[in-house]
Amino acid sequence: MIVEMSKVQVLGPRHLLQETIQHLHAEGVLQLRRLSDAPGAGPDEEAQLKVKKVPLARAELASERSLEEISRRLHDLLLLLPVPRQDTEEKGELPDVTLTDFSSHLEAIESEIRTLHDRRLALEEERNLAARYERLLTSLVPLLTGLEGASHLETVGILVRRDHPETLALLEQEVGRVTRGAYTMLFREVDKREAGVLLTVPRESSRDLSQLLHEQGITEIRLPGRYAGQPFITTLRLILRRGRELPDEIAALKAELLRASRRWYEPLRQAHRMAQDRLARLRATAECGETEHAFIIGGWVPTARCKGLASALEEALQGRVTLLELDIRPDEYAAVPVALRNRGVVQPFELLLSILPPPRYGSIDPTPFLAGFFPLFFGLMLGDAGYGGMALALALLARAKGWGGETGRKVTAIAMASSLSAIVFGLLFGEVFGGRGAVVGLHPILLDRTKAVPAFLGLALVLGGIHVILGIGLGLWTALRHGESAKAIARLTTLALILAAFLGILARLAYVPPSLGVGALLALGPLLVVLTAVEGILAPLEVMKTLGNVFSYARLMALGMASVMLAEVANQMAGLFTVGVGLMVAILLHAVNFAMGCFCPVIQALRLHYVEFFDKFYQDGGQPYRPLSLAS
Amino acid sequence: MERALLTLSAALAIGVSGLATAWAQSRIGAAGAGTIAEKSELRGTVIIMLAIPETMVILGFVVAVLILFGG
Repeated sequence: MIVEMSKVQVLGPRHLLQETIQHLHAEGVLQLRRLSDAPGAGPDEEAQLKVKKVPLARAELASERSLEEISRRLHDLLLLLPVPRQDTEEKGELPDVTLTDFSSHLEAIESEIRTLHDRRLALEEERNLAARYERLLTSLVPLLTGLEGASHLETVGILVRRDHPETLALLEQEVGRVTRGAYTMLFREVDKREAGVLLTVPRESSRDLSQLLHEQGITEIRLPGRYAGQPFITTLRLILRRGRELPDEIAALKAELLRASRRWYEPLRQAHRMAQDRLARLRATAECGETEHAFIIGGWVPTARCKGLASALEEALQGRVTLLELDIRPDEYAAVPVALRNRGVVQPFELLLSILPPPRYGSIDPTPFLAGFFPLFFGLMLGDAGYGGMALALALLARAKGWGGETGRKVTAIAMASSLSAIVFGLLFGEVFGGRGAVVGLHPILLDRTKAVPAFLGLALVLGGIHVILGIGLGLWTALRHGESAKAIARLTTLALILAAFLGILARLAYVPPSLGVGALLALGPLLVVLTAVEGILAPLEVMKTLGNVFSYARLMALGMASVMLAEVANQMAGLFTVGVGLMVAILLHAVNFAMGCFCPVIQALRLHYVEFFDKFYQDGGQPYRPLSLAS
Repeated sequence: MERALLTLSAALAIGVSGLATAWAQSRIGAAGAGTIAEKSELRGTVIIMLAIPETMVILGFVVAVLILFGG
């Protein structure tokens, strides 16, 4: 459900504004309302003259800029530090973020941490370079030992792509041309994509070689700047030796960075939160209004927390500040922040709604319907006790291990509900890994999905009809609640049209007397006229769309049948081989089917909700509830 | 012969509608990916847009089932 909100106004003497904001900040339940929305600051000129936005003084504006800068620097610095797992006694100390010497203190810490971090990055880059060329170097350097110190020769390293083997032949041809055949060319694979090539030419030809490589767009092997000026072969040998020393140096540097982190991570994090809190209060001040003697803070508070907030303010400020609760007009609903509150098994399903914009205040929270129909649709599509059991076991394991934190907990709750539904439908369809259910004495109770195709299709469409009718019913309820009579009549007429169409179909199938079917069909005409009169000329098309929505639920049957058929294929394939190989094939194919059986029904069940169901009543455009609350 | 024609009709009903859905989704998907890259808050709308053409193949499937089992 959508949490009921109250529109409030906090009033008090002007000099208590900052103190009041501090208390509201600490309570963390009030979401500020912009002054223009506040009562008394309306469009009439007199009200505008009386209540004006609190102007930030020059010092406060400077403080805001400074805090923004400090907050950004602290955030960047925290990203460079590893999160320490152990605590240390030697915690660093930092002054208050608002003091002028904080920046200089931060500068010293920044310099220390950035130096360590940059050095680690440089060493890691060097290590990666050494590792990259290790294969090339270990094979080529011994061959080139004789060339070392030969001052009349120049050696150049280049990289070429391996997927164009003709490049090497062309390159050799061109090098031979510019050096008149005085060259040696050695190459070795570096990785799957590239090969390294060493070209040794007389020094007098080196300029021509460089020009050739430049013209052909071939890049020479990039070596660290510290080796500049040294012969290429010597550099390669040095890099190789360095590659063996680097892991120890990097480990030492990481340990040093961790020591710095143990000392500074927590103080820096605290300072960052304090800066964020100060900034929030400064920005909140600018959202408030004032008169000559009083201040006004407008906001939204969950109704259930209103009394608590009023008492807290009363107690903290000795009754000098008042909290007024005002009525929310329907035309203000778009501005009211939205918080969802669902309990128990329904609450995790809020996650499935988070992909869409929040519902508008005053509309319906569809989470309870998602919690009911999502597992139902999933179970109907997967419909296998074996696969359902595997999904349940995985969900329980993930929950026990705590994978994914809070989001993981919600996902596993949804997975548990859905897999239980799949187990129940599996028992109803008599399926355990396809037709293996018969081995343990299971038989279809509801229907056999492999044979009763029309009955399964009928079941899917009936469920679709119920779901869509429920959606239209919710739309009707919303329209009635908001006093939108034309919309309510349109929804009611659509409902009547669908019911008449269903009656007609049932009469055709001889489930109801033919006279009832004729009556229902005769009612279609007047109902369409009413609908067109209320909704316009396109209304009959909307009815066709609604019928299309119902047919869309045929996917429940399509995926369900595909799932059981694939399971049957896996079982039959296994029978074609010897016991060992057959078992392996069956496990592999069932694993593929299980993965598909878990993924596709989720997508399709969500789609049925988002497109077919929500379309009938869901009103998005709600603003998420974000109260002014402490970061620290 | 009649059975072969029925089967061919069912195959055409689902095959052609499948191709149509695939074509529509490829166009909407490409545009949707660009939209999400620029305005990620529209991902819900993009998903709904992307899902709409699926109805074609589902209706094709229903027609195919009716051809095969309806008579």
